[in-house]
Amino acid sequence: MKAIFKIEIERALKGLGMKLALLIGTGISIAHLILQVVPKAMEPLRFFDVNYQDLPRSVFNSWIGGNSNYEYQLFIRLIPILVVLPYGISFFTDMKTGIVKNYYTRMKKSQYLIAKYLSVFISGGIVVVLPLILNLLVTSAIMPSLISPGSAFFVNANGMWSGIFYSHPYIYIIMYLILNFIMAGLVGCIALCVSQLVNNRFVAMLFPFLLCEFVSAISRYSSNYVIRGMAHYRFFSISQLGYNYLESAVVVIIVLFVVGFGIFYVKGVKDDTL
Amino acid sequence: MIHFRKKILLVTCFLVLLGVWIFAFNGINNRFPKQVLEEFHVGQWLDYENIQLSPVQMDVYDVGQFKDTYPNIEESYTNPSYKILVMKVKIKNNGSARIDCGKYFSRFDAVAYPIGYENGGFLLDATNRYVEPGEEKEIDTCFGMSQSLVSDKNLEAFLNSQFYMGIRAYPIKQILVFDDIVIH
Repeated sequence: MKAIFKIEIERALKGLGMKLALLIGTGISIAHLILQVVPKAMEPLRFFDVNYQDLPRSVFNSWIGGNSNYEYQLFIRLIPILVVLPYGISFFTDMKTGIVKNYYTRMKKSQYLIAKYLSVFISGGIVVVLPLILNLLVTSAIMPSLISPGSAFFVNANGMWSGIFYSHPYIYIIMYLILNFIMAGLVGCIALCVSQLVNNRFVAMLFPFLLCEFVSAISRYSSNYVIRGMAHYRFFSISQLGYNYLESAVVVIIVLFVVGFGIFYVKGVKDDTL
Repeated sequence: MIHFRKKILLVTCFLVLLGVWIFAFNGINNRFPKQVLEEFHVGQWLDYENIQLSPVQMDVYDVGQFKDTYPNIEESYTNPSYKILVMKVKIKNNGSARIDCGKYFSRFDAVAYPIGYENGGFLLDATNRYVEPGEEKEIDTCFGMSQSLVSDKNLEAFLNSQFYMGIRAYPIKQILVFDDIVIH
């Protein structure tokens, strides 16, 4: 199991898809730094008035996940595509090229399937979290780490973990990055699951994107806050423009894992490949 | 050998970047250090320009109770899910001219920490807004709280928060803390 996982994760991390996904993600992240953060860092005291409730501009409302900005909206919209790029359809190509036969003759099917799932999960999480970490690190190096409840910050009292945001903002960001990693990994694994069912790589590759957009569009019509919170543009948003709810995140994680892993594993074990 | 050199190069690059980041992070946070917190509780006076302020009590009303308590207030809260916070503050005029409290209180915000509620308010009694030189009086300020600010789901966490009126934010954070909270 360890050996096959090592091979799979190496294929996932060193592949062209990973480089392309990281290039797009970090490109958006760097564009945000140049267009939004650097101009603010040049004049952090703009709008600050010593007598009132304003703070100098801070890392927590300037970094890419700290407010509503075009680059972050674009990044969130692209997440379902980015997470698939590194390794999402590798099972499909393994089957088509016959590589999978080499694995199946040397180990149990279940070992290969679990290693594949873990590799897609981890590679999906990395391509989402790394550009955000890069942006946070650069922003925190040029903007002060100041916070206080007020209109300058987007997370309000209805937002998930708002108490942590205003008392320990870096812990809030770390918790959100972990949540984003898990969500991104699971969204990437949808492509794995779908590649068991379809015979076209583009369908498998684009299915997570279409599914996320579909759920986002449909969830708007619900009056139930848990369902509304299941839109991907909401649960990936660290600034929480629409409030996020832990219940929504838990439901999404459970559904994506049970359905995604369930179909992929059960069908993968049952299907005759050799 | 090439692989080993590549590793050394990567580790060196990482350490250099880490050093640059730590240097820059410390530099910017030394230039803009974290706020120094000054809390003022019941009986303590905060100096602000030519006035002094001291917190007294905070009341939390629903719309019906608010209208019963303040029947003459024109502000109409029609949504029954609203909550209304009334912060009572003593104000002392140390200047030589009459002051208009509205000028000051429009700058101050009500905050529930750490949950993150923050809102601006208004003076409840518009006829009680002027303070003569040397005079001390109690002023009631009112802050609305809709479901979009704090939903029923978060009400318990909200009520367990620390309530304060933010007077200054930076570099010294001065707040009037309301320890005495009455929920009607």
